[in-house]
Amino acid sequence: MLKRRDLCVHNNDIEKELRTAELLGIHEIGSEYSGTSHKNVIYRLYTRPSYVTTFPYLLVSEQIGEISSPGLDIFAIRDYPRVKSLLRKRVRRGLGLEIFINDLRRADGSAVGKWLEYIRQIYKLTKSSSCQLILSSGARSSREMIAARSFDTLLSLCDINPGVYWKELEIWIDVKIGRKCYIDA
Amino acid sequence: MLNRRDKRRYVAVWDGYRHYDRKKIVDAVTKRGCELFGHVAIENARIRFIQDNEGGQIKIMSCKLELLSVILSVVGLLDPPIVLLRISGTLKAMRRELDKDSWKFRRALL
Repeated sequence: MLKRRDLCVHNNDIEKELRTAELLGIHEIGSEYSGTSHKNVIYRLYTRPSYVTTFPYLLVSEQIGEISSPGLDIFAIRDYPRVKSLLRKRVRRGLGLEIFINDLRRADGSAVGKWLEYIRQIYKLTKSSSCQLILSSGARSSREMIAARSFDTLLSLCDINPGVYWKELEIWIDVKIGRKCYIDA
Repeated sequence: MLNRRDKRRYVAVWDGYRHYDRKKIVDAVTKRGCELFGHVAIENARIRFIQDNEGGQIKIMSCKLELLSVILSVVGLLDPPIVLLRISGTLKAMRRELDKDSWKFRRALL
C-alpha cells in the first residue's frame, strides 16, 4: 500500500492535524517541533540539533544561499523564477525540492498555470539530478490540509504519476531519516 | 434503449472556515474552475450543490464523473480552502459513509 505524506503542515494543533490527516488518507505529516514528539510526524528543523534527538527530522531552508550547506534535506521553493538559475547550478544529489500548494491557492488563475509548469520543470530537474520533488500543502491549520485524493489529481495535472511519486518519496524519506542519528522513543 | 443519463459522483467537502453557503460554494468552484480549466470544461461538469450537514461545515456537491478530476483539482486549489473528505457514486452511499464516520469527523474536524 502506498504511504502518502504531507511534509509541511504548520504546527497549530498537532493532535487535531494528525486526526484530520488520518481522515484524509495521509499517513504521515511534517511539522515544526514544539517540545514533544508524536507518532507519524516528521519534524521540520531549520538548524541542525546539537544533540541526539528522540524524533525523526528533516533540515529545511527557504534561503537559496543555504542550498549548498551540508546536511540540508529540503529546499522550499517560494519564488521559482528568482531561484531557477542558481537552483540548476547548485542543486545536489539527494536534495528535496519542496513546493507548497498553499502558495498556489492564493495565486490567481494565470499564476497557478505558471506554477503547474514550474512543477513540471522542477520534476524534470529532480529526475536529471537525482533529487526529490516534494509537494506539500503548507497548511497553517487542519482546515487547510489537502486530501490524498486531491494530491493525486494535482500530481496528475503536472504529468506526474502519483503512484511513482509516493513510492519515490517513501524511499527518499527512508534514506534521509535512516542516515540521521535519533533514538526511536 | 440507450441509457443517456450522465454518471455522476458525489463529493463531500469540509468548509472549516464556514466561508461558503450553498450558492457561494458552487460559484467559487465554478469561478476557480473557469480560471484554471475554462468555461467549457466547468459548464460540462454540471456542478450541483446537494446538501450540507454538521452545522453547515460538511457540504455535498455533485459533478459529472468524466470531469471529477477537474473538480478535485479545483477543490484543492480553492481559497479560502475547503478540504475533500469523501467521494461516492450515490448519495445514499455518501450519507451512509458520512454517518458511519461521523464521530471521526466530529473528533477531527469540528
